[in-house]
Amino acid sequence: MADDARSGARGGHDPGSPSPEETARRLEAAGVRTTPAATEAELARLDRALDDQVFRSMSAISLRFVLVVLFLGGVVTLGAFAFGWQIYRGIGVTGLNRPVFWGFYITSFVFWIGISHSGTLVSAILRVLKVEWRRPLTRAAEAMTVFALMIGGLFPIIHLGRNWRFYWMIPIPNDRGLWPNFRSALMWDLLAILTYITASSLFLYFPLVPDLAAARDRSRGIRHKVYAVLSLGWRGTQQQWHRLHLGMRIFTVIVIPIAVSVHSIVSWDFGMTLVEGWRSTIFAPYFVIGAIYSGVAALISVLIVLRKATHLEDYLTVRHIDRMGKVLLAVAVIWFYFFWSGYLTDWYGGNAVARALQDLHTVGAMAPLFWAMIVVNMAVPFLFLWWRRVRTNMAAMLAISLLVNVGMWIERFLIVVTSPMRNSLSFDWGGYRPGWPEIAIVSATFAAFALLYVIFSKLLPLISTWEVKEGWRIDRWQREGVVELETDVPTLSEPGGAR
Amino acid sequence: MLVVDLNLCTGCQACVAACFAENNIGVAGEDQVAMGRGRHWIKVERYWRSTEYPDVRAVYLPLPCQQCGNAPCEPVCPVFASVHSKDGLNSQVYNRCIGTRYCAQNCPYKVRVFNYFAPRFDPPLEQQLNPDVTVRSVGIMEKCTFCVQRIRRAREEAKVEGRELVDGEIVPACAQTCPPGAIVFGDGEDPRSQVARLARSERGFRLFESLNTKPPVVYLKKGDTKNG
Amino acid sequence: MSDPTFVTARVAGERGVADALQGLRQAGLSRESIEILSNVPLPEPVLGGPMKSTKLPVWTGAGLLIGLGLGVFFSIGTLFLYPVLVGGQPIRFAPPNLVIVYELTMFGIIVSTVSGFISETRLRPAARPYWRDVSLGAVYVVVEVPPDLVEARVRRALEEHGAEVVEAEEVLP
Repeated sequence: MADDARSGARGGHDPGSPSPEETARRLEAAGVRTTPAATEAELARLDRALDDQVFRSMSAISLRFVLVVLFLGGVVTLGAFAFGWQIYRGIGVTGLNRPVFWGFYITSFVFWIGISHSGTLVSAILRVLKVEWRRPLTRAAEAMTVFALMIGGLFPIIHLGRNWRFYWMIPIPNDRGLWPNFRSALMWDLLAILTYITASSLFLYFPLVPDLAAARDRSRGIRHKVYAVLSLGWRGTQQQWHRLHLGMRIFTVIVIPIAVSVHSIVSWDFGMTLVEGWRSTIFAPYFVIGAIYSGVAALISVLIVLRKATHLEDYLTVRHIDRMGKVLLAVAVIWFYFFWSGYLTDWYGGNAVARALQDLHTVGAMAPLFWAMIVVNMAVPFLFLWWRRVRTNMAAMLAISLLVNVGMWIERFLIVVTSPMRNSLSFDWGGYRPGWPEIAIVSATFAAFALLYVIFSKLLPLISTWEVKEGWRIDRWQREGVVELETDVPTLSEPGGAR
Repeated sequence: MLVVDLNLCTGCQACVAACFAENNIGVAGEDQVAMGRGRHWIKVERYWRSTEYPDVRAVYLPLPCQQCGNAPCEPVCPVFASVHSKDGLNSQVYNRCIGTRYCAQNCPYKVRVFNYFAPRFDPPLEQQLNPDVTVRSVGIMEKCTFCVQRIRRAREEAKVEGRELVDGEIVPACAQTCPPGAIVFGDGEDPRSQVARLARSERGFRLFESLNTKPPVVYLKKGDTKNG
Repeated sequence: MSDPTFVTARVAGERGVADALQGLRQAGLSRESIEILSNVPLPEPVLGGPMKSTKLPVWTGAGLLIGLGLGVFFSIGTLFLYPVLVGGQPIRFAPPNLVIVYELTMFGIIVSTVSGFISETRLRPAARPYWRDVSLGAVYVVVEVPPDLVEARVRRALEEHGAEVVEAEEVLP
């Protein structure tokens, strides 16, 4: 967070500590080489290179771009057609039945809400902890949350038997005098997702305002007008910066508990029921960690593709992927810990339905899916992510992160769809085979996610330029004593800096 | 209160047919039933006690909506389509339903029926539609109502005639049709009624009592013919 | 109230900001009448002291209260307006109500904080000077000349401290 630039050091130098010159002399005498702080001219050069890179990638439209847009747009159109067909014929075009009332749509809903989890959460946690390397990747991460939520939020509506009546869930006064039922976990869902999409859109938008102003100053015509409106008359006065920092500080703190609550509530859609395989007290943290798991993996995939496609390798670096890889490994272990806790208690309890469900997973019809999940969600990350060689290999990381998301989709499928297949009345056990509209719509949402990123990359700066520029200056400000070094350990005043 | 004597049930499915006729339930068709989309408001579940020839024995469990006192299907509906009526019925308000199917997921008895397609009544079936019951549209949930239209009618007739309801006056379609008379309906709060007497039997039990759903449907356990 | 008079100057980097601020302070200008335009947030010591306070926390607090009230109304109030019995749950109060109250409180905080941000940033009384090369890295000082000071004196104070007085390129609301 850039407010570290203003939080400390009100009075400049503490008279008791040595001056920068003194420190440098002492360090040199001790045989420590110090790099001088960047000069203003050097910083200006860095700034220009960044601006060129970021804003140029926004304007150039290549043939490849057009082809990608056409392809993704085509897949999305097919999905829209499938949805139209489903409305026209009835929800029966899906493979749903009794007892499997929820299928691909709810699976995908949980999956996309999970993906949405990590962007804002990762960005907010890194901001709260004032981690310096976050600066180039917060924008892409925050955008991921917004896009995934836009998609995930559609699924409950697509899933409805009478989609055209979805607004009956919205709590507005109506002529029936009837409010929705706030005791229903689906209402919690609605409000949680509404809150989260509002929060994460604004969390994306807030730090975007100075960059929109930069885009405004670099554009003409209609683009200029649009950016002018969106940038809220941003002039970069110290007052506006102050307000932005304060707003971001409030937001960063508030958005973390919101993110945690959203996936808890999604898990409670299942946890509140009497369905074996769903009713569990561990579900809220298990889903939250699962969401972070799939979200971090998705963020890695997105970053790898983005840096390649928009030539931002200098800013979204291999070291970023390396660090995110370590995070992924840690989350993989936590995920397995929760999974195993649930599995073990279900097995030990010996409940007939729970056993039947576990048999369905481990040796029954769902065994291929179950073991695939174990392999790609646990074995692959655990065996490979320890190695720096793997974490710094972009192709390997892309493969692992995509595999993790395949695994997480399967995990949600096993929870959402297969649990109702087994219940206390064995007469009512059942199976599920998705209909073609379900497959088409789910595919379309993956295309839509990519399409949103492709369009985003042409309309808005993919990197928060002002935050990166600020990061470059922090080191110098610290050496000049304008900004306090963030450390509790006594130091030789300022060797190194934050870079 | 509904009492079902499993000793008497022969699994003939007459109750199912009567229910379809009485409640304007659309016939799903063979392929849909194979997918598990039959619209049976009352199912006759068959469980094998023994499949060893010649000692082949089955138990039949006629399973209508249990009209739970603490119905798990009710609180999960976001639009109050599944609510508790004053006389203790678990009502489904078709017009409010938007088809989240959450209620059906949470029903431990799996007795809720979803209209995956608009119901069809091929001629001459449309001739026998019951004018007292609506025909439900596509995309909504429906289920056994204990033939609420018959309950209302009987009650209004009694009111018009200025008298109390008589035990046995209200008969749902399934009970009316059941050849061996395995299904009995009546007022469970009146200790002298036939259902109350039957429910006091040692054989009486309710399905999944441990869930505390408090269903007013009492089953009379099947007594083994050999061991009494 | 007549339109304010502005004296505007381009300064060279952070050092230029500090010099110009010193000159203006000597000329008797208060910190409130000076704006520094930059494309990177400068730390407070460079800008010569803490910022004017914003009302943003007030907005946040108001949003918290409104959200809380809305949450209580939705989760408890609506059931009194139209009581419906479900699943043997009580009408009055139940643990799930807290979920609604929590979410709507958060929602209130967010919406009001943003409303505050937009209203403070966007809704200004008058147009202010601006230069497009601010976003290329140029730093400008904008002085709103108070009625008791002569414009020329401000101009001189800036020029004597290394700032280059320039006219506004455009005005932004």
